[in-house]
Amino acid sequence: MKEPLLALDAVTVGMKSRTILSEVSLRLTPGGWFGLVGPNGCGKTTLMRAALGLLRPLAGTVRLAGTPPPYPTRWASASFGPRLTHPRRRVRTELRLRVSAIGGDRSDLDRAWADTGLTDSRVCCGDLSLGQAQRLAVATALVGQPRLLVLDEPTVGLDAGAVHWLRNRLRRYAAAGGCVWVSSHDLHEVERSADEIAVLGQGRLAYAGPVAGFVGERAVAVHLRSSEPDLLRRVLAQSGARFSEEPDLGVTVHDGDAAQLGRLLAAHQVPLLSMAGPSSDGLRSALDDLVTVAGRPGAEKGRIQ
Amino acid sequence: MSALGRDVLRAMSVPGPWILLALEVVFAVMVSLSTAFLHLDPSPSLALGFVPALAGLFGALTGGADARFGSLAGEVLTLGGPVRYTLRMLRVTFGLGLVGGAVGGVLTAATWWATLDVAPPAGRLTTLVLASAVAAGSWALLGAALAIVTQAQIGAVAVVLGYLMVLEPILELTMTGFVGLYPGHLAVELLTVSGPAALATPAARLIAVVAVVAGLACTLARYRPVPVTAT
Repeated sequence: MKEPLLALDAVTVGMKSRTILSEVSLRLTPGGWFGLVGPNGCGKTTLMRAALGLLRPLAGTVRLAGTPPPYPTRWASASFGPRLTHPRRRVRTELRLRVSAIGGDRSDLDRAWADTGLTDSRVCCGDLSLGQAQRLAVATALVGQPRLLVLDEPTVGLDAGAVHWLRNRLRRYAAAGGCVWVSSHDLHEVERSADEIAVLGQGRLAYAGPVAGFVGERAVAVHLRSSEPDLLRRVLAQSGARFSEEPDLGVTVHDGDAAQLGRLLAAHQVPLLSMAGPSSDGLRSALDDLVTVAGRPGAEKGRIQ
Repeated sequence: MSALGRDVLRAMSVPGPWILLALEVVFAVMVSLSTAFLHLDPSPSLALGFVPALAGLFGALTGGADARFGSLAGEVLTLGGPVRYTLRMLRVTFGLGLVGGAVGGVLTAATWWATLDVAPPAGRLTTLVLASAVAAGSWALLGAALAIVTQAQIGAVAVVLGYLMVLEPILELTMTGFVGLYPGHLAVELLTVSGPAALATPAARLIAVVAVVAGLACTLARYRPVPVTAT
């Protein structure tokens, strides 16, 4: 087993008397591509900031190659979004400054310039489109092949061609021994690219491991709509099923067996308007399922009998 | 490229802040020329009177740019931590302020030298150049330190202007015992000294006061979260 490059142990982060992350432990290994997913406000960016030493955890430890932050130059690099550069500075100058800061040479500058996909060397950062600025942010973060590359929502604003470029570029980076850590709401891309994912829900680590494991565990949700929702709820509750409810959208039964569920509802003469699932939408469905269960105060737990 | 050269290029690679230093020099020369044409006695405090404000604004704008445009986190990671970033930012703003002040002082001195009928006393012009350089460097560093403390460019600009135009005049009237510690007062005192011997005390005091604020900026930078968004 590879030695972890980044090790987070029981990291707890709070701001203004509010706990944002509770006891999150995570290991990222060199050469790997790791995804970080979860709903808005669950603490993804905060976790990344803590890992990079940009904020101090209330408790727990953070180590990059065994060293606590701040990390030496070239150890960690990050992009927290497009348009985080001085708008009047030229793109080429921006890259040159980064290359110079890490002790790089002309070839590093040329490589970074090629990564931006731009041709006009006089263009300023503020003149770029959202997608171009996003690509510049990633290209700047990649300068000097840092050991850990943290990207927060790197696909925002990118067209299909740019996403393809990003995927290939990050694959090359990881193949050279770099560790990619990407937070994203583009679950299709995460599912396609990441070796492992960490799922955050309400400030806690809900899952960490291979994508297939998470999807396989959870993609068994069955969605039901009935003309008699009260009866449906009562029957499900009596059976001990774990389900959640969304007004006007019906009921989602988690960890359910569709055939068994059908027999149960038929036996109790519950009229159904629709019955769908298990879902085949992979990570999105599994994540929705997790968020629905974790986030609904009325979510009930149990098992279909 | 050296680290200092890189930081200077970074500070000067955007239009805006450095124009304030150029303005300071232009203003000093214009006032010196006007004084000479009107056959008035040279007045260093008038010619270089805007040095603290303009240098302070230059420091605030340069030091606060990364917070304003969201590039702070990237720069902190690139340079190896928030304290290292802060020290380099303070160094470059002090250095550029020093150079700007020195250039303003040299041009003011040269204007006087060229327009006065009687040569000024020995050491007077050297003193003027040194005083201008120290005052501008210190105020530029002060502005940058305030920007790092506030983590906001516009906030730092407001603090510099508010302090110089409102707070310090009030403090000078109400807390007279501490006048020797007010950076605006010390800068003016520095610019009006007549010889090298009198330069040491106000210069040392000004540098000490600025060093305290710079120390506060470094301490806060070490313990406070680094923002990852534009402010």
